[in-house]
Amino acid sequence: MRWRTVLRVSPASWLLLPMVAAAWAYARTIVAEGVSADPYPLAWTAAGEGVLVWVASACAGLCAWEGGRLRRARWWDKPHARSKLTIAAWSCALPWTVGMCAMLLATGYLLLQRGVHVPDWRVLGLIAIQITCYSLLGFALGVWLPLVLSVPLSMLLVWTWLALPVGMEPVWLRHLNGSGLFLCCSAEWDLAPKAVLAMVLVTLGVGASAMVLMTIARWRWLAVVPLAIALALAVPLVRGFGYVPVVARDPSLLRCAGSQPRVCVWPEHAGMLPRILSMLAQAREAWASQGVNLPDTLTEGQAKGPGEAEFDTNVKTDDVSLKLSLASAVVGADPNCESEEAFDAGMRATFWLGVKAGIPISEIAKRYQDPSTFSEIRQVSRWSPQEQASWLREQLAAARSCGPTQVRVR
Amino acid sequence: MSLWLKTRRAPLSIALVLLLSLAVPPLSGLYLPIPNLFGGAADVPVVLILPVGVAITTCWSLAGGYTLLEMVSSRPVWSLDTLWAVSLAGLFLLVCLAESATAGPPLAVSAGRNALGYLGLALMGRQLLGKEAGAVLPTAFLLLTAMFGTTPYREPQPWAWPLHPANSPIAWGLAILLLVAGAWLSVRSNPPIRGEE
Repeated sequence: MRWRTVLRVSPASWLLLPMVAAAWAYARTIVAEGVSADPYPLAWTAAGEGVLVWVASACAGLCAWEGGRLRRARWWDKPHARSKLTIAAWSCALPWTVGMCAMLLATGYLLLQRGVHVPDWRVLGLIAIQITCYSLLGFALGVWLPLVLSVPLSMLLVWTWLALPVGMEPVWLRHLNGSGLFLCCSAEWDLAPKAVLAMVLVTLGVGASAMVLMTIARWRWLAVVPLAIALALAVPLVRGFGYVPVVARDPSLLRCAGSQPRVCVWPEHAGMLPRILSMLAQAREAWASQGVNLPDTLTEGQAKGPGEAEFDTNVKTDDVSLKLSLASAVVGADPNCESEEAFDAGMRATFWLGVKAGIPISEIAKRYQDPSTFSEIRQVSRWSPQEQASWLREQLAAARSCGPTQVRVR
Repeated sequence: MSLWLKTRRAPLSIALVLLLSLAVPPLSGLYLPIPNLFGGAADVPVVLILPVGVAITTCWSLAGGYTLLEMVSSRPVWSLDTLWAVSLAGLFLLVCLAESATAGPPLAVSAGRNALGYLGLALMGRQLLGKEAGAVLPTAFLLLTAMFGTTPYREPQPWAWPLHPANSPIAWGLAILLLVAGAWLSVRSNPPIRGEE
């Protein structure tokens, strides 16, 4: 069929501009909502998955329409020189192109908003596979069911499949279709390969089911078999994941600078290194006067020994939050401690080290509205340096050992 | 009449509408968390979406006849079709009202109301897009409502009547208005023929 004819008869060509406009408008909302403060390619490419729920539904509906036209003309069931899959691929080409244009524009807009010029190719590949398989599903429903049913059902089916698991328990269900990617990730996390594999498996299972549905005339219930196999293989891969399917990021990517302490940050934060080093240089003496020495290494990755401490930040972090983050790393509270008392001791020690690093007490009090902690910090600030150091030692011991502490406020 | 009922797949259509209405209580706790264009994530109750199934079923039922023959029928086929469509939505509404009266989910009445509005859109869709494509209109409207239909404070927009609570006069007014408009369009002319199955 000539392209001029395709453009004239296919609803996908009429809907190109509205779909692209809607995807762009939706991407603007995602930017406004905020995904990640950092220009992290994975986070901003994965945010594009939020647009997929609409675009994939529309592609499925448009492909169902194309399939319905072949069914209505009683053409599909006749013998053909080309394979049915080839015919389906050509019929779905225009809706697929429209869907990919909408997704690429939305994702590209999201990336450029944070100054990211290279997307995460794994997520883009996953998006392409998803658009392809959901388009095939729509086409298969189109050639199987009457047009009056296939178009609305394919739209609703894909929409529900992509939207429903996010609201269901257990939370790992969302990783079967990729809808959990929308929340991915801050700079210290990377996409879990197992989750990517599971998403690809299930999506290909949908595509394989669609192919079975469109190619066999009898025993159509067999179409559920590929999807069932894909789900059976994918569920063990994602079971146990939380809201976001992530693993710790490769530490070889860390950029390090300085010595005593050596500071290591993720590539997105490399521009912050001079600021962090200067801050630490200023705080070093004040903290030493309280009996607290800096660790050998401060890292955004995982600390590997007693000489290393973890901190986190992002490119939008202001000086107060950054100082508190560094202070918290120096405190080194037991991360697995569930004692509220030890947690409070760690907070008090962090705030106190923040104060010693030059943060006004009123500034911390304004941000973290906890009157009891700040009345205590104010009182400690009036004590002698020896008493302050002794008080801080108690707080640090409680925070690090997950033990009780004595409140010694006069 | 028996032929007309047969071509409209009457028993199966009634069974499907009853099935949909009986699915309201068990599905009342399910929500679709949809990120909304105006901010936040709107938790759209599944039972407010379910009635679009009534519109799809009705369109499928009405698509059963052979248009060219029915155009020269001595019976008022378009009026009968409209009456049949409204009856199916009415049946869904009645069951939902009964469910609500017997301590069913509070959203059941909203679901019944939505069936009226979705059907009105479907009847309009049949006139605008052809008898095979009528249900596309309520389905597309539903997706747009989920996408655009709530404010950043998660309140439904005035026009997003499917998301309104059961006691919303605006929602009832819009749903009934759509039904009346769809029924009026259906009664006065046959849907355009764009090929027969």
